[in-house]
Amino acid sequence: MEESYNCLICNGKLQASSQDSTCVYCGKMEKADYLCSNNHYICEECRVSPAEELVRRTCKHTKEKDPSKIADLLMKHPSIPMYGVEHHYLTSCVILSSMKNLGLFDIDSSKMDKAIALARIVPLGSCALWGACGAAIGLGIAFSVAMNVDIMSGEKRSTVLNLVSEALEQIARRGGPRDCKASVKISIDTAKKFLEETYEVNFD
Amino acid sequence: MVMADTHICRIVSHSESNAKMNEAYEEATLIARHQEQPMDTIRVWQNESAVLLGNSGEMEISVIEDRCKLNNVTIVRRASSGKTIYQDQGTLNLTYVIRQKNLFTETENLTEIYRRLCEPVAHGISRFGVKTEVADYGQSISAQGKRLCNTFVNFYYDLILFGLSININTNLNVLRQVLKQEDDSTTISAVLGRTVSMEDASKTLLNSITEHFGLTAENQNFTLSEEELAKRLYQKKYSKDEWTIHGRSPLSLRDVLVDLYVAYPPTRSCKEIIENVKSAITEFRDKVELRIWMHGKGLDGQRCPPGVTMTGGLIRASKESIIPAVIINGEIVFSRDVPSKEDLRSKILQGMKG
Repeated sequence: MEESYNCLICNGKLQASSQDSTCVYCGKMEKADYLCSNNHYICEECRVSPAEELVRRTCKHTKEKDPSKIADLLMKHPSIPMYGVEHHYLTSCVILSSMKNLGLFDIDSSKMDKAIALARIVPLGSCALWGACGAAIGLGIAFSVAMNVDIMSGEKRSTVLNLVSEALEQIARRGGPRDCKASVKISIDTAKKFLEETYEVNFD
Repeated sequence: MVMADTHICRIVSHSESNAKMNEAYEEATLIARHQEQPMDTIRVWQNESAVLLGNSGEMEISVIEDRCKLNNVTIVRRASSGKTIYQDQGTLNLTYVIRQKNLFTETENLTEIYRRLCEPVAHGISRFGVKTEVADYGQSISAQGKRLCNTFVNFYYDLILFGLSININTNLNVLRQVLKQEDDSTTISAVLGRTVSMEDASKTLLNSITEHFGLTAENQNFTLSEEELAKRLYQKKYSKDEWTIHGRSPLSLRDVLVDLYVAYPPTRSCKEIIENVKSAITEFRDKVELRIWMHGKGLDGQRCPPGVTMTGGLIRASKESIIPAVIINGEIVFSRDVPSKEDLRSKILQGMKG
């Protein structure tokens, strides 16, 4: 078995430690067992977390405003595979988390749970099977949940539909076989563009 | 040809009368090369009459079993990929077992490497006066549009096994009787219209290889551990219909396979489980194979190395992030909790009983 380890975040060499540190995912402060030179620490619970739990823990805790940064952090964790349904609810949650940290809408943890439950319905390969990529649908779910959209909603329903169709168009234009990471990026960029233009927010 | 500096290579001339045992030696050489680091190897060998299926070849599609029985032709499944071929005492096998980076420093393109490994053999054949052509992907060497030589390939970690099955005086009549699919094979003797001796062919082709690659050749025998490994492979795999007919390989060459799935880096409970498992298997050391897989990093930091199969339980543990997990013979037996040494020992004993 490997005896030396590298940081999952920056690939720097990990050193044994007993320093008080904050988990980069869930924000828990405790004595670190391993720490890299950039002080990245991942707590034991997050190291063994399945994807959904990791996304939930991270997105509920983070104060990060930029959803791309939250998504990048999550996608470095080994529980988020190269491809798969995890990218659907990941997209919803990082966008909701960003909205919460920007003070937009009234986002609480129950909304994240609702988004995960909705995104979980979207199957693996929906891009090819339904003609609708799960990450783009995840974007729609985030806005639907945030704005309390239902089938009787008027303008808000159109907003959600437009956002999803815009992301899908970009994903389709990109071409090639499925690339979940790229689809997440495109969907998040679509959300950021809309939030910037509509609410004049700054993601820095 | 760009080669690494002067390279010593052992030549092992070793043939078994049992074609299945010959295949066991092929795999044993590859695994031993990884475990014990003996030098790069070229094996020279021959088979009695045998049909060799590729690792995923289908017997029904490619072999006429009744005619094999009639002609005393053994059916064997290789661990290597490649087409189904017929061999007999007129067929010469040359197998390279090499670490890719040792011999080819400037390319990682596998088809280019296959072609280059074929080239000295093709040159060697041309020394007999036969004009040869190496196929684009190094899958064969032909003369007059007919196959003189088929190749097969296998991998284990960063090692390549590349074999060439060269028809010197192969009995083409039997070949056409036992193989179902249309075959365009020929032999060096048939092309030349005279018999080439196996000894001459072997010497000429080996010289051509060592000259071409600038190798210093050392004649050696298989090591004791290679012999033991070959015997174990024969008993557990190559002698079984499960492998020959169905292509199902045993999970491990030992009685029990224990896969441990732990976090990266390991948590306290992961470390505890590793210690408990190591302690529980001490008394069964020769009967248990332990593999420690790390979340996102795989086995030995190489994800799933070539030649290593992930069991169903391990795939589930990986996909569902069941950490830590103890998987015995492909079944998850402990998940997320740390079992005691006694519980582990009891499950391992159950695994041994099958």
